[in-house]
Amino acid sequence: MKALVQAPAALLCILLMAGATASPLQIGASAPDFALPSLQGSNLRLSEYRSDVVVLNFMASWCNRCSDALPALNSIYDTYQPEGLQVLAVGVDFSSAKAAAFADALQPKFPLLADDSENSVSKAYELENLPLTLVIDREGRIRFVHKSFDKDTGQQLAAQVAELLAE
Amino acid sequence: MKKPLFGRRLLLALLMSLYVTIVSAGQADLVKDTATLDQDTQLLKKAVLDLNKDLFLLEEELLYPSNTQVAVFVSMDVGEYFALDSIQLTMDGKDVSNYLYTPREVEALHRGGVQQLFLGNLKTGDHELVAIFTGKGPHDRDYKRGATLKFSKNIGSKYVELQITDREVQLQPEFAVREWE
Repeated sequence: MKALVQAPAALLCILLMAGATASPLQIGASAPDFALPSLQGSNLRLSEYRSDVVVLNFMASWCNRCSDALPALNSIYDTYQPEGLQVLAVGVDFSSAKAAAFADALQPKFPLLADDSENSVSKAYELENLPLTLVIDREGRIRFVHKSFDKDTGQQLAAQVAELLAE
Repeated sequence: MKKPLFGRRLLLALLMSLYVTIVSAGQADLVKDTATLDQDTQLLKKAVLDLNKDLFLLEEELLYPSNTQVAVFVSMDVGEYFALDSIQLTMDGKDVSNYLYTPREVEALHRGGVQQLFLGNLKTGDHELVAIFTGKGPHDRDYKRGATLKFSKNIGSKYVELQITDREVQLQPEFAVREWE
């Protein structure tokens, strides 16, 4: 009888501990919410796009591969924005004036957000490498993660976005 | 020769009618089952929502007991002379909140919404709260102002309101901190 009581309690503890140590990049996990200033002017909060599919991209001004991803992200945004897609790019070093000039040169069609001086958003997403691209569904759950961006990633992203928009 | 053919046709007709009766009865059962399933799903959804609400209340009661609870709210009246960007809140010299406002949240405050900016615990005794408001002031200039409140925390909840109002005479925004009685 004691074992019957202890087993669910142990299971509950394991589940709670697993929840406490779960990586934010786990597929199906809720994307950590944040609010950041955009280089275009106003502040943006991720949770305000809860009913949209969101492509969240992390980049930096010194990262060449990150700027290579921009044309693909622009194209995806153009195609799927009317159906409910939002693309947000978070720059880990966009708070400096030099980075702002770099971002201007990229001419993205979607908002570029500047992570704060403590890089709290990058930390919340346990950012280890750049570029990092996440696809978040309409309910705010991370569904796809790309830890690099090569020539096939754009096509994969487009297919994943189309799949989530159709859900 | 005609009789067996007639008999076969009659038998076929009977079988067909029996089949139609069975299928329509099955469909009716299926429709009934689907309706019941929909009702069950709705009841389950309602139960989950109720449970979620109860858990939220329980969590708040456990984490912030009413004896030590302190809550800070933000309200805005008109706000023509100030476009709110962020509020930094410190309690006894310690940063407790740094909140960035989106246009949608500012719009909600303009419409009369009251936002809970901070919920925490404080010991009984004297405390100091400092709120620093950042945004755009008159003539679209960067604007930063602070407001301070020294208060005494007794046993029981303490509620504080940060008010952003317009001072029409001076064409300037005004920032006030007041305690709710």
